[in-house]
Amino acid sequence: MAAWHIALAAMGAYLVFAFGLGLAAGRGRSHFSVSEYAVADRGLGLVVMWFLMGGTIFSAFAFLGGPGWAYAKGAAAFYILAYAALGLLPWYLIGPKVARLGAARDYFSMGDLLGDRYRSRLLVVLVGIVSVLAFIQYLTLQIKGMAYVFNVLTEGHIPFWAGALLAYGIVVVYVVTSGVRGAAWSDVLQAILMLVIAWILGLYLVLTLHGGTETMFAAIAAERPDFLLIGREGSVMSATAFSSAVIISTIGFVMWPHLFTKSYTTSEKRIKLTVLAYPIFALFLVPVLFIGFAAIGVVPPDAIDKPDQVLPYLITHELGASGLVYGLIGAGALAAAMSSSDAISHGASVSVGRDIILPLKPDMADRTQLLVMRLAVVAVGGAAYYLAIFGGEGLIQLLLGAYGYIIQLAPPVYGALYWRRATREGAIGGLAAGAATNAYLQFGVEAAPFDINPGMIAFAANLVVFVGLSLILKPRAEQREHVAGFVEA
Amino acid sequence: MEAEQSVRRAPRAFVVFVVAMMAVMVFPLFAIGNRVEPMVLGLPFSMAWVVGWIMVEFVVLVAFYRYEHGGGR
Repeated sequence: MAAWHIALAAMGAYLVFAFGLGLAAGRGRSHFSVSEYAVADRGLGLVVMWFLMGGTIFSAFAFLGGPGWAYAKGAAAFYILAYAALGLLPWYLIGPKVARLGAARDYFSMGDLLGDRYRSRLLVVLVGIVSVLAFIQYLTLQIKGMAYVFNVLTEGHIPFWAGALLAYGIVVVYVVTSGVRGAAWSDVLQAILMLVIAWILGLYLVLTLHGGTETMFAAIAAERPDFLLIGREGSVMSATAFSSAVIISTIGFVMWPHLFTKSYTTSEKRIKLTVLAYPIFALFLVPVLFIGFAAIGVVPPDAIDKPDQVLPYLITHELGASGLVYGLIGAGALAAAMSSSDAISHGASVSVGRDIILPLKPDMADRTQLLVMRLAVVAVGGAAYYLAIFGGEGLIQLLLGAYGYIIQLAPPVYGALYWRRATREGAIGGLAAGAATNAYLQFGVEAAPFDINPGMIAFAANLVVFVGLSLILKPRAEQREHVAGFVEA
Repeated sequence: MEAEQSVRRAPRAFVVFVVAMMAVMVFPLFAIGNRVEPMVLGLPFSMAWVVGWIMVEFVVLVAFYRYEHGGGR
């Protein structure tokens, strides 16, 4: 039996287990309730919540991209730690507010909230479209990760398209049948598996290849003095690029619409505890970066095509040809990608159903809505699958591209919750201006000016239009009470 | 809504905290930590700077939570 057979069997066993757990999570619950599908009837426990949120960050990007960044870009990889640590902080304030409004006014999605506050169906549809665009980019990233893991660890015997189809197909099935509960319970399993494997792997590689972190970092610093720093002559990332990437991620992270859907599943205390426990997840990422740093001086730069391949290269060249090790690591990486993609697929399906289709056809029955959401899982998944297999973009471009759109939702959301004068026209105009600027900077020009993150420039345009239009237009007197309900919630 | 009213909240202090956390992770303040030596617990100082602030963040969050929800609130 060749090593890749064992690897395939181990990954297969993991997939079967994840599949069973995802399906079992929805047992005994109503399969025909929008509330159960979208927000688990607003009753998810703390541990499950924490993993559900954590799973989103421990994505294929963290597991494959993290070591890749550390290996190729050095200190730029600290960005991943900073963003994981800061991203959820604002949620401590707006999360409970969003949850209270959601419970009182029966929301399921971000669009529900914005549409209600600004009294605009056009805005809801716009929000839905922007979110789905971002969701698809993010999903594409995860699917690429899954395909990659299967392909490398079975030594090329499972082609890209088949690995992606198998792993993501399972996600689609348990999200369709079990809704948010399916995603939550498999995330618990996936996050634990992934964390254990990341730590063992990170520490093992550092110890066997370098004897310890101190000697490892000292050797790197002696070879390339600026590599472990930001914005110096020999550094890979400039100070403005690093700073703007941290800022855009911190503002953007809590604007992922599925976070709103998730917060409708729980209580104020649990939301705060989730935020509180989040920095621990950021610390868990440290050994993931060790994997990449350990590869410096061990993996010759011309041995791999892309930095994202550094982890699979280390596994196949430094850990011996043990099929079981391949399989375990493969399962960990699959867990990383799947736990993100189930949350995202679920979020995207709620966005399509509630924010795009429902405003266009408001008289839909609950059952029809649910059917639309379930079909949307398949449709959005199919689009992302197509892009992953036939599209050309790299992992990091996809992540930052998705954030460029998501961050555009920040002005209308913060405006809705904190600013009495925020108007419908400002929200719509700003969102349109921001999304258009971002698309132009991403695809229309060679490089963004001053090395500032394109999403950040688009965000500035959005903010100017939003605040400007809102200040010019007089707030409608008859809406004062309506708006106060949101600001004071 | 009675349980809700007994919650003490400190939103302004929290905003200051978030801005401060963000400030130490970006330039110009990040420049203070942007050096390799001295190594801290086997990490280059730049990485220890980020990791250290994340630990501070966790402690402050616990303090906020205890202030707001301590004593069975």
